[in-house]
Amino acid sequence: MTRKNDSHPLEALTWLVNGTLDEEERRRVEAHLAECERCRREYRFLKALRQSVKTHWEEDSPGELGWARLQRRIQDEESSLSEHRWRRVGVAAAVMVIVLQAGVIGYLVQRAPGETAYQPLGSIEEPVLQVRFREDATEGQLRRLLLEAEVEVVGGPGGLGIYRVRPLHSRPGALARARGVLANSPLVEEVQGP
Amino acid sequence: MVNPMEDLETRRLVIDIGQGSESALRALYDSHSSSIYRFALSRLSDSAEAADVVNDVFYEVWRSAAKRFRGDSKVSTWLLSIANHKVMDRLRRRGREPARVDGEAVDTALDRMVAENISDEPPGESAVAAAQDADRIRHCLKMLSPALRQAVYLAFFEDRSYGEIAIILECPEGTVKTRIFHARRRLRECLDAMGQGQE
Repeated sequence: MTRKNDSHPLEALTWLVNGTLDEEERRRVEAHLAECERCRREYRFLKALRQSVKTHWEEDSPGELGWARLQRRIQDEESSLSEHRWRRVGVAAAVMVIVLQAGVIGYLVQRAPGETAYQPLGSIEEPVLQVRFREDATEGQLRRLLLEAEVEVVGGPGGLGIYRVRPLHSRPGALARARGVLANSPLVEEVQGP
Repeated sequence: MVNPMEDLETRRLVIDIGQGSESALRALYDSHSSSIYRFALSRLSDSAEAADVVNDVFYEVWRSAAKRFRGDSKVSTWLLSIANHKVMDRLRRRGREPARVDGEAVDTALDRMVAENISDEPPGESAVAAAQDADRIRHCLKMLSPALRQAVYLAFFEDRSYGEIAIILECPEGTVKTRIFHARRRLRECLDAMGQGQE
């Protein structure tokens, strides 16, 4: 086996050829090259290699077509986000109108005929249903649905557009009936609860 | 190498993109898409996938990356490191572990060679002459593994320092040097053989 010669800075030649050696290292390597034919041959090879790579590396960029494709992707994403935002705003606005017109910011609990108690949003202990309405549902449609299901909105929307609703009455089976009406409605995407 | 003034202007583009300027995105695309395309192609060997990487890189720059650019590297280095992530994602989806490439396997062989004091023979004059031939260069570059070809692209086409290449490829500087060593050796052997009419 041939003995390795530690004094040849072969590793550094690549970085000398591409111009990225620091000043001190460059001077050291160039001083060596002045006295070493073996490394000069390697240097010539690497210079020729670099020149060829720069001249002959096949390049075919996406160009104008690639830019058009990127623009479409950006526009499609922004259209989709915008439509989603407006739909969510529409449903939220419709539900808020219904809640305000019902005259409640908290919710009305009927413990017994004539007896009522108000509780603020967020502190409800009674069973509630979690409902996600379709984004294109109108105020009129939601109002009719809530009346049919005999429920009222007591919270929401959360980050996923989920509202919390509870039956207007505490009669036995009211929650199950409300759940059934909501689950069967085409305006409801999802309903969960006890 | 990137002109320092050019990089200042390019940084300005990134800031403008972060503020929603599509014309700045276009300018950055025009100046850097080819570099990213070649980089991706050198590793993926598929022009459609390389074009997808270009699209993904600039889309990410537009959506969020521009706001996250800290300015602690050149813009071009930053873009290529994003491109490297996209390339690695695609290699994983292909079911190919990025770590299992010829470059890494040969690193172990190199360690053995160093331990055994085997020298790196100088290139013959025929190799030097063959290095100037377009067809031979293209042929021998294709013979390299993707990882080595990618290292050659960054060192000899992009003129990156080994430090920058290590940042782009997220590997140790020693690995960069090892890949260049092996790429250089294989190219020399291939060109030497072609120069002597053996390939």
